[in-house]
Amino acid sequence: MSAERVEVHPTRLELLRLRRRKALAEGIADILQKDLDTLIVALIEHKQRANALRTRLYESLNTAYSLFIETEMIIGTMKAREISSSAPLIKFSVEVSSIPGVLGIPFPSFNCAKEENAVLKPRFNLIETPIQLNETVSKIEEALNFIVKLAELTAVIREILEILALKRRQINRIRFKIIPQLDATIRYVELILEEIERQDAIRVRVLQRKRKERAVKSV
Amino acid sequence: MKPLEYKDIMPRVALENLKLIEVEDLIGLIGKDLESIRCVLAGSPYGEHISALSVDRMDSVSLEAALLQNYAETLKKLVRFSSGSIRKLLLAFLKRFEVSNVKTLLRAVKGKITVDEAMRHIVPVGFLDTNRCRAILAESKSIADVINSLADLEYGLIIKNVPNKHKKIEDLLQLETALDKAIYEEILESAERLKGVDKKIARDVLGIELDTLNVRIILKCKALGVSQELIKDYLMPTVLFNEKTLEETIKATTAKAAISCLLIVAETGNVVYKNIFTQLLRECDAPLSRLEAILDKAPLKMSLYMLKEYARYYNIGFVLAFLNLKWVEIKNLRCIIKGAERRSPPSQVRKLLTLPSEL
Repeated sequence: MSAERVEVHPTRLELLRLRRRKALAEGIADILQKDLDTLIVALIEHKQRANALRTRLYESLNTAYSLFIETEMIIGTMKAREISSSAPLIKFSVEVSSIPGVLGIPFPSFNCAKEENAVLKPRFNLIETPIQLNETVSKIEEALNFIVKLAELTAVIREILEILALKRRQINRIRFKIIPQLDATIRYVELILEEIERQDAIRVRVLQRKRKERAVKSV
Repeated sequence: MKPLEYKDIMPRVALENLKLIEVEDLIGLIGKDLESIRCVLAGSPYGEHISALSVDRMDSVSLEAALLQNYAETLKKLVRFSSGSIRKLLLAFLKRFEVSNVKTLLRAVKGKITVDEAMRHIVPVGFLDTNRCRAILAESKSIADVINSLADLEYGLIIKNVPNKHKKIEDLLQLETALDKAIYEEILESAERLKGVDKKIARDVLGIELDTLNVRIILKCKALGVSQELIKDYLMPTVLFNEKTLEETIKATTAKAAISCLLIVAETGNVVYKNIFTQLLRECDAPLSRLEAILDKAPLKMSLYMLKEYARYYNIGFVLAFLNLKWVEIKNLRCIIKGAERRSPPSQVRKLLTLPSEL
């Protein structure tokens, strides 16, 4: 597929300009490729962190469920259910901010903020509930923190993927559109210039021949 | 001790004692599915209550309710055959179910549990029968409504005074603690009315229950980081460990220091106290769940010790030992049923059982 060329005046000055533009485009493509590589490395790192976090989340949830089942086994399903549903709620909120990430791109940052009471009080009946219920709660709180951090990592990964796609489009545009266009234009200008050069050479030769004929006649 | 007071109740307790499930049979239930457990229980003394359950809605909650119903019925039966101070003590025991029902009513309203669901958690006893509980749940929209509905009962009066003191009616823990304190005080008072050996046995058996409860409360609150001043509000009536000892325990910086403090006093009590607290000190670095399990076994250990120490018949020890054994059996069955429903590993279920043979 031949690339379309840019409409330019086929002059030597324009040729120089086009060559400069091509060199610049290749430079930009190289820089973008380096950014792309950095982003891919960052993406892999974040993916690995997300996997590790997901494993820890599953571990926390498994421990929490196991402890809650133990609680149910000790105090009975009925008590566990009524105590859990009537316990004071723990209020959580997720604080969203942004932090500078790789290549200075702002990455989202999520933080789980728990409303702390001024006076620390037990949440469940102290003589009816085993410590396993409190341990369940702390494991669930831990899991909630992991969930928020996992959401943050997912948001960062999405951000990186969007930027990766953008960079990839920019590189493709430069490599497969702009540079071939410039190449075609340069070739065209070079051909025109060569053609003009050939015409000029013929014109010079004709003029020289005519000058020689005039000199012979005058002699 | 008046032998005449025991002439009707003792044969009844002996009969009920024979109905207890053998430890081997109980262990044999571990790992079985819910339907198999239901079939086994249908052929046991719990059969009457288990058979009344609908097979379509068979779950751990309904089986658990049947077991608790059986315990309450057994207790009611013993009350019918008892007289004098023993009757008063058993009635105080029965009131635990009423208190449990009051707590269920409060929790159901706070937790917005539906009336039908909440009614599955009620064991109708005494003044709080099914109709009354259903009516209270249907009419109450808030904790204050439940308190007003119970105004004619002693529990209503107990919890009515709590919000004034703590100014926060929504905090169920204060209400529940007030109810627990009141019922334990009544049980202790009933025990104090007994005479001679009966009084000593009842005081020791109920005393270790209350003392271990207080130790559990202190250890748990310290683990949760609750302030020293607040811990005192949650303590139950004291018996061997007086308020001063408990205060020193609360002030202790580590679990080891706290248990050491208690062991000094426990050594002045009988051998069960000493054994329990020596074991606690030995395992003080273990997780709190392990310490709680040791403390939970104390009342049963004391009951069995009292059976060995005093003549089998004509004292309250046999009655209290039976009640503790029956309660432990129900707790074990509950544990096995839940384990079966959740498909828990048999080792986990076995770990949570309290077996009298291992005490």
